[in-house]
Amino acid sequence: MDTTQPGDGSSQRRAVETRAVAWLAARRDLIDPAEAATGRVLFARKALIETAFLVGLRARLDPEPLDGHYTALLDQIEEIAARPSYRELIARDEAALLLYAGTYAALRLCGRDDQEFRQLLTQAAAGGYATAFERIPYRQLDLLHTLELCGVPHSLPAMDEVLPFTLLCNKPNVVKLADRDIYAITHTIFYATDFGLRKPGWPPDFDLSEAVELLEALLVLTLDQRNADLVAEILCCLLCLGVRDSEEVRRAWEFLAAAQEAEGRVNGPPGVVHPGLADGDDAYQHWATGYHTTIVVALAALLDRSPKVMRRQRPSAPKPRLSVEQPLRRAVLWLADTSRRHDPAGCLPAAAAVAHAAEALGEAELARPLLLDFSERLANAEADVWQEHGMEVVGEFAFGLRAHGITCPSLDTFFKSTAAAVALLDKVPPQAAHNVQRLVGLGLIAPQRAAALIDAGVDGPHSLPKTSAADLSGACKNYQLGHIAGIVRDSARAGRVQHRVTRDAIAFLLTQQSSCGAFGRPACDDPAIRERMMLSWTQSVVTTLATVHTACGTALTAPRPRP
Amino acid sequence: MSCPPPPVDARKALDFLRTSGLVDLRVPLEQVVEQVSQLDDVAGYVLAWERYVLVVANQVAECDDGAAGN
Repeated sequence: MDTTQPGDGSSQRRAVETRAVAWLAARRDLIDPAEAATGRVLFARKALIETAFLVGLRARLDPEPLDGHYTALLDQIEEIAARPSYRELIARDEAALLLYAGTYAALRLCGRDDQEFRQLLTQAAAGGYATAFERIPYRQLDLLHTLELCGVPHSLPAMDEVLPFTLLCNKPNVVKLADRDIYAITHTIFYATDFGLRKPGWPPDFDLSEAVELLEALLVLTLDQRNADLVAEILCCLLCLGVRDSEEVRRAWEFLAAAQEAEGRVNGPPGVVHPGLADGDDAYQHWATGYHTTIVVALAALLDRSPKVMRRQRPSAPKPRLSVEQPLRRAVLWLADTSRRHDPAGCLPAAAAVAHAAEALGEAELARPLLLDFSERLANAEADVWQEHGMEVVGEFAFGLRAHGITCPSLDTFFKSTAAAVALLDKVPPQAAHNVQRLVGLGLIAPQRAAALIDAGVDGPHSLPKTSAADLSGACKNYQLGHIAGIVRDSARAGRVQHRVTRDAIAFLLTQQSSCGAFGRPACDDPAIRERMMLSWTQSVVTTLATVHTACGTALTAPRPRP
Repeated sequence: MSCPPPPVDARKALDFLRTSGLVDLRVPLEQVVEQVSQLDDVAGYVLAWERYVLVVANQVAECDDGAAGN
């Protein structure tokens, strides 16, 4: 979507909806369960109710009469619902009440009420099972909302009483959320707000600004994953909450408009359809993998233009105070103490992390015993010991030694050789620039020479990919603490330390600290393996928390000027 | 008289400058992943309903067709 065009983009979004509904209408025979192959009947019923919901919402959200494509869809829905082979399943398949009730709700909302269909629903609802079997909270909200739209009476607890049990209302950590959890959140908002038509009775401790922040954080992650289905669902949620003028909303529209194909279809994420469903039928596969996302995109455009959907100023983002000082200090103490019992050549990164974090904390003395010990044990180390760890590690170790006035002859020799070799280079690649500055900080090369080397190589290839926040969910699921630490460090360096995604990733890391101060839960019983893993994880997390601590501006003493 | 070449050559110096290691990106133990990945199966009683409504798996469809007679 070209947001640089005059106007607010509403005509472009209207065009997105028109194209999407036209594409759905042209394939409306595919939502007919009677026409579906045996293995596709349930899928057709699911698509039928979702299409019906879109049409029903169109009737509610826009006072104008339905246009041709919406009318064609409604006619198809009415024709299917009129058949006994469809509607009488309500009495036989009570566990799937919602799959049928939504169809009736749409007909009712569009002024095509059907008393016999209504009686079937009312009987099932009163039958002691269909509305009574235990559902997870957001499905309970789905039930309540559907019964409300159907006008079917019930004596179930109200939505306000269910909301406190939902994931949305319990301050979820965004980096831990699987796709199904995000759907739980989006659907909770759909039902609670009645698709933007009411203010829900939120629990007393619910903070709308936190919910908006959560949705915008999820947009960042799902946009990174290029998941149009979830992007559209989350965009709908922001619109249901009245938020339409934010940077994240603008980015979401831009992405969805670009993702829409010329015919109107919007492709869904991989994996939503069982591979066996299409069974080599490409046209069916094309529809099955795109119809849901296309419906949600159309709904977003509908919510955007509806005069009935409430609008509000975007609530200010919360500004929680982030402090990692205490856990960082405890981890530094453990890492320093544990590293000393190991080979200094292998544990050099841990010692460097200790030195780096002690300086960030303004408590250089935390690193002194370890630095003294390692400098003595590495006094005659071969050049390869330093070479293999790289400048980031060796540089931080050297800064630590310098802060305490400690010398290490083998390191001095190595640095002299390296500086001489660097002097022979004509340029350095971009990913080495930071480490060249470390050489400057140690007084090993002149600032002007470093600047010339970096400038000459600025157009070179970046061989190291930038970390992506979208990788956080997978890293959490797979317990890759080092990977999480790397992403958080990059975010903190990029000025995003207060972003909800970064804060939640930090919160995740902090919950992995044990009482001894180490990070990570190895979930194994071998003491040697446990210690090796905890050393690796703690080194990574300590490095990251030091960056976070500095970025939060809470260093007890100003760090010395260095790269 | 020419100077001896430095023990660190230009290639090694570049490698040294490019290497980062303060954050360890290795996965120290694969079995951690293997252990927790089983939890989804344990939680199947919750996920079954979600598959039924949100993401219809073929197997579920087949079971349902048999039950509903459609």
